[in-house]
Amino acid sequence: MTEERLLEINGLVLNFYTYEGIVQALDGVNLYIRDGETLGLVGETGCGKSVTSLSTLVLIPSPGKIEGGRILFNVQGKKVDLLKQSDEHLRTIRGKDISMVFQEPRVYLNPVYTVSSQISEVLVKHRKEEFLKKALESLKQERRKKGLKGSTFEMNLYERMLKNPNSLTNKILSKIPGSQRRFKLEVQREVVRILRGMGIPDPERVAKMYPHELSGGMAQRVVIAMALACNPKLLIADEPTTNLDVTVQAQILSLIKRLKSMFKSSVLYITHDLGVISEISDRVAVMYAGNVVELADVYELFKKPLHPYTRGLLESIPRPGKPLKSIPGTVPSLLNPPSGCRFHDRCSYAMEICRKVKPAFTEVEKDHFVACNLYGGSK
Amino acid sequence: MVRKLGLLTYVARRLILLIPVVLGVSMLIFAITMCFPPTIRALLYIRNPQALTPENIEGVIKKYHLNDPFYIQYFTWLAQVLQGNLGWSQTASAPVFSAILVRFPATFEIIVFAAPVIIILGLYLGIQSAVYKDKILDHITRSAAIIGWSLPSFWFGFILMAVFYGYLGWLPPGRLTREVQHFVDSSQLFTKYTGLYILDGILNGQLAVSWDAFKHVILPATVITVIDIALIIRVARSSMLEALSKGYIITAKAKGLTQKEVINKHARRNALIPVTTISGLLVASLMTGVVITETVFGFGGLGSWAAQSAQQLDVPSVLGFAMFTAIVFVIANLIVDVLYAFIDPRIRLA
Repeated sequence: MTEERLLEINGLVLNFYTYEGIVQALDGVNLYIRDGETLGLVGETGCGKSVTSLSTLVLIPSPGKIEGGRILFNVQGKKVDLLKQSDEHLRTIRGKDISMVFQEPRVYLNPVYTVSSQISEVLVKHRKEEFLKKALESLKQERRKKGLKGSTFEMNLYERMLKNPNSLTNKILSKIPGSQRRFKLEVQREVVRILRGMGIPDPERVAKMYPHELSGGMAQRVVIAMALACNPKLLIADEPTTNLDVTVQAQILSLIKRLKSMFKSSVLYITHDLGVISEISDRVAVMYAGNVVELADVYELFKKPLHPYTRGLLESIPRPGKPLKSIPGTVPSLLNPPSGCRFHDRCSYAMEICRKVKPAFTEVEKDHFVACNLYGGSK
Repeated sequence: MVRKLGLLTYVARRLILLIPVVLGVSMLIFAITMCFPPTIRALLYIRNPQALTPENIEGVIKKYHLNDPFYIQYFTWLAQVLQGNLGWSQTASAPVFSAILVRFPATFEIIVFAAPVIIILGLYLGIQSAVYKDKILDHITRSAAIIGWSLPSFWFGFILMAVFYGYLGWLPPGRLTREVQHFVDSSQLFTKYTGLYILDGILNGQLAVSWDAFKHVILPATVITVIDIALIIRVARSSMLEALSKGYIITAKAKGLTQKEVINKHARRNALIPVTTISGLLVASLMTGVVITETVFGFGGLGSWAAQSAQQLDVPSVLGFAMFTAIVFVIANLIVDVLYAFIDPRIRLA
């Protein structure tokens, strides 16, 4: 298997500077995603899953600040540190190479624009050239069929736009009503095609709808359509099925699986549901209080969990006929996190050293990483 | 196609709903008149003061059924109102209806200049303030808005007048210079098409009149703008901040859109809704007179007339003004509702 890492997060530290103090939300997060695989990121609410995913797009909600670490991403064969890129460069990556699906589809769709206008926005942003060429080609063919020579204003405009995408004259000309009719038609066609690919019945009608007219599952399909419109290399799915009915959840999961194999994208799937994780991921990263505590192959992790927190998490899955177990204590406040290993005061294996030393993230077996002092990871 | 039809039915429905609202308002106003004895109520029906002498007052009371049950009186009154008869205004020495017709254009002329600036500039500043929250621009805008809002209009008006009239002599008070007023009122060459002197000046080809009227409008319009813009800035800022905190903003950023596209397309349209509401109410309340500003500048608009009538217990004038105010507010609300439907597709369904 090729060890091509698409995304690699090393020692990511992120703090929120609030009035009550500094919230140490991410305290050295490590993980990586290989080409074409699905990495499940599990953890309790507030452990930093969503912040990790937003950091990957370098969209840090204020008052957050990244204080350390690297986010390496493979752009055209070159590894670049996303944290060091200009905003301009990042905008060419967002929505094109990395895109995101969120928990509440209807909150993440703009209520005042139609489905089609929200999807075509991404297409026009990242695939403009392709549609200009298409529109030009179809206009040319049409004229050839009619036996006409020369070119129309619309065709000239497209040619100029292709040659000179940033010219101001072209921008002004393209504002003339009707001057981009064929281009818009091509984009519209693509929107419908994408929606149909999401398993949406009657995509022409859905495209004209507003978000409030869609059901939850339908809205989530639209959000996924928007995310996949430019065939991203990495899809970040932040609890996309949490608020959906179980049957719809299953549909969305199988949709993501199918699309993943179709587009050969990698997926970072964030959830607190271990059942979903076992269903969808190739590997799993377990997060606790701002740290990734364990990273392993999904079978390996379920069979041989190493970190005491992972074990606790797996034991707290309800099973019929067995008493429900839970991890004692509560998730610590990140305003004032425990010293050393952040899990030590809830851990039944805690040793003296755990109070003082933050365990390093070490590879104890091949491709099985754990951050725990039990495994000699301390340095 | 379906959407456009939806919008049309929505507007039609709002228009039909107007009728019961206006009727309700008229009933309330009529109820107030019932507090007065028939001898005073008779003032509400006459078209000139000669029509009401001690000798014929009984005749008026009889003609308009002023001793009959209230429902008969109401319909008689309503019939008169619908014919444009709102009684005699002692304050204006004219029928109430024509008093309003003469004074409303004056107020309207101020609003035509003040309102667009208040709304457009206020919206712009509010949005910029939200985008640069807690930065210097935000602090400056907010402090300036608060200072403007806290300025007493009579004080601010006097200062402006002292500088621009007393000291510089540029912008005089009143509605027109005396000679121009005389020309406008008596010349055969000047027809008052609209009562808006700036517009009438253009229509009559008398640009000097327009220019004179414009000079008189600048100061009152400035006072109103500086004071009331704060309201729009604050509403625009807070609704923009709310919009910027929404999930769809993260989606828009995650699509790779620029900051400008995110703000101008995704956030602004959502922030417009509260601003529309406040703008509608603000413009309606300005239309029905800006008492202090008009008084300071000796600008004969609706507000100063209404204040005078209230002082002199001129019942028909006050009630006519109340009726007019109600209608302006109802129309303003209608316009706001229609604008809502344009801005937010969710409202068309409601």
